[in-house]
Amino acid sequence: MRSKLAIGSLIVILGVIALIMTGVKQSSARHMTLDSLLGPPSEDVAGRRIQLAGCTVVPGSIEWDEYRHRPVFQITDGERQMQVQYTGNAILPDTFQDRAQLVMEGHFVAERARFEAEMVMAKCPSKYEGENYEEHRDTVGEPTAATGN
Amino acid sequence: MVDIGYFAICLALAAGGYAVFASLLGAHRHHEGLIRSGENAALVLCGLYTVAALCLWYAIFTKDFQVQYVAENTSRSQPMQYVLASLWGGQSGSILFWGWVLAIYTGATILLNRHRYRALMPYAVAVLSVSCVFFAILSVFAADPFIRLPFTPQDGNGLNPILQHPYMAIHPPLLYFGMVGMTVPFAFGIAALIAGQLDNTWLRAMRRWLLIPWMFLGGGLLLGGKWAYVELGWGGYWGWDPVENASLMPWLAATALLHSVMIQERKGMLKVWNMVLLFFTFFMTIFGTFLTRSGIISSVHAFAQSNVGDYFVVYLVLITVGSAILLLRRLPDLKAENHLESFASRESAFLLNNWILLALLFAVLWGTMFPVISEALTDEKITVGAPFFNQVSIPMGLVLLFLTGAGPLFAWRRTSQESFRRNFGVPALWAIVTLVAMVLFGVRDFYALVSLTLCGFVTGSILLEFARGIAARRRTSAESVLRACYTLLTKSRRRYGGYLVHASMLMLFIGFTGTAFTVDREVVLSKGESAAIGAYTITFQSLAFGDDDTKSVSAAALTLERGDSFLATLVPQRHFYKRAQQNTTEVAIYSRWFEDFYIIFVGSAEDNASTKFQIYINPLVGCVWWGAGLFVLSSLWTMWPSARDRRMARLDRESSQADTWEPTLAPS
Repeated sequence: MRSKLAIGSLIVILGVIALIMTGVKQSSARHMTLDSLLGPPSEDVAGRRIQLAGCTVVPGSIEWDEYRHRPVFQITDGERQMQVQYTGNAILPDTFQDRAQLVMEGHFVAERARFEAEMVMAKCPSKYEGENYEEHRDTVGEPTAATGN
Repeated sequence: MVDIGYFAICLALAAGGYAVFASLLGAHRHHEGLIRSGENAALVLCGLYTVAALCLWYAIFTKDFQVQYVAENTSRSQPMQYVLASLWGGQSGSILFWGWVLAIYTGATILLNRHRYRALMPYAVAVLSVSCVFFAILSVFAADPFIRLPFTPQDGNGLNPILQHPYMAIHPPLLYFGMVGMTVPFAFGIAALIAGQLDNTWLRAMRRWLLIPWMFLGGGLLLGGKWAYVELGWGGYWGWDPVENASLMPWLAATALLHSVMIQERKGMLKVWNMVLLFFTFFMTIFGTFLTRSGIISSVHAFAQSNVGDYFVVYLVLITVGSAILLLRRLPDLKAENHLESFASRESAFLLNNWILLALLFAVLWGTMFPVISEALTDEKITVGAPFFNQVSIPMGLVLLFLTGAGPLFAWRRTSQESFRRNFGVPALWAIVTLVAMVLFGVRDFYALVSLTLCGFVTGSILLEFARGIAARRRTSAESVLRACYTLLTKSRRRYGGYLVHASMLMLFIGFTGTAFTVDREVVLSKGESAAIGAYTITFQSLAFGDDDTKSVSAAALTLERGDSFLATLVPQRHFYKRAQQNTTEVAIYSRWFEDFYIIFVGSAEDNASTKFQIYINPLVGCVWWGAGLFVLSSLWTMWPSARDRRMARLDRESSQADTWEPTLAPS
């Protein structure tokens, strides 16, 4: 029974590993930031699925299409800027707006220096827990009284 | 009030420290007074935590925007019911809330077990108090929710409008109650190891404490799915986001554990395995929290990066090393009393169920952690998305579905060929009939066919079990069928309640299978124009705009017809919240018993002459929500104390009052 058990568990483990391996091969995206995408080209990114994170929407840059479905917009990491075209099917999340932090998946089109995003996830800027009072004042409003602490 | 809150947390920290010390020393010296003192200190901790949480709530309700947390997470215009939810809406508040829930669990554990499990309780109280202390430390040193700003802002940021939804107000606390609650069974496991009391007592003590958070976690996950479905507007309910995965993983581990403890109770096998599984379940709750709060995985609904991550690493190391040492020390006492005798046995089915659940957990973990793993191994950060998780989880899910039906049909020890035929005949027939029906119905998707066939099998199996139970009762008493069914459900809650939980899983799987047939369409319509989608026809009637203090609304009205019959007028909308400067999509859903018609108002052209809609037809999705409801109800049914439990609790109470408790309280 022991050896049978060992064989049984081996089959399950091998099956799971095979499943995971093929799964990874079929749906992986390279995680990049604007810096690594636009910086000195370390490798070929053309045709590769990329997950782009660590960027925010440049305020005022969102240009919607006719039916407010697939916009073109600019993203920035504070230094660099890039254009993004949304090509996905689902509507963009409600949190997609000026200054929203984004995580996107899609492809980089080098000829147009543009990112074509098939999937966009957005975090609303108000969720950002800023340590900086200046920033805080910008989002929260002018102070009424400086009471000190 | 804010100072009182902060002070209460500091005191709770001290009380927790004392509770750990007194419980351990009391247990070491067999000093009942000290042990009681430790328990009382833990109850005080529970009270202090409650005070702290109420103070923060008070600050939130009175809109004390000088408190940074209040300014960041509430606003003047926020509706009252969602002001309540601001307590756990941000990082530091949610850590306070976590600690509070843990303190409540600690208090409940002590109050319910004052007269039982006396050998285990001091250690369990010590472990629970250590956990409380950890979260109190976080609240005091790393994520203080009571920090004040040097000025008082006029208004706060407010809770994001998409989170202002009844489901979203309940979903996080449910998950917290689930995640936090896993501490209690863990505490009993550790207590059993330290006390060396490794018979079935501790299993009995922890089983219900495992079921409670398991139910909360499962319910919370499904409710989160429902929220995503009605609020986010992408037509689905589960996206394999790291934050979702973080709460799914402990649920999977706990599900495995719930099954394998049955083998230990009955056969004395898998003792080490169960301990490991229990520790792992608890570990995953903390690890999941760590993942979503430390910023090592990029997810949109992860909290802001902060230094709480470091504290969590220390805590995780402490848990792992501590439980490993204890387990190794007691290894000789955890020998199995029996061995596996045959593959065709209940034990094997349970074992396979455990392997698959863990394999699924491992795959989810691997996928979630893949960016970190790949970066460490190849210097290239690779992420995997929903297709990976679907591809991996569907086959494993199907094996689990099969076992849901097959497990109860196997006999303990070994199943003879004859009983195998007798038990599997009916369910196999159900499976074949379902398969044929589905093929005739036109289903061609491979996984969908397999899944529905297995659903037929499981239905047959559950009905067979009930039919046999009812027949057996009716042979000995003249009960009606319904009466006999009710007696089964009340007399053997664990067994037949468990079958009901299986039935809820069956419904969930039917619902999940529906995603194979989802229809996704975009249509552009001008007023009066119609479009045919599947068997439905929609006609765009009118477009309207409105405005109030908090938001402006654009709404479209469409009539939905099927054949010649009018079904409903659907009004998908788009809201614009002025304060947050944010749009929200309000989908319109027409639910029929076997499918949902789901429509989103995408946007109108400049002159409002035409409007774009996105439409999903989601077959069988209703089964997910019905399954979710049944899951919660049947789990509650299963864990509800039976008459026998209540009798035993009374006996425990009487016997402990008779011999142990009174004398030790007398002055010595």
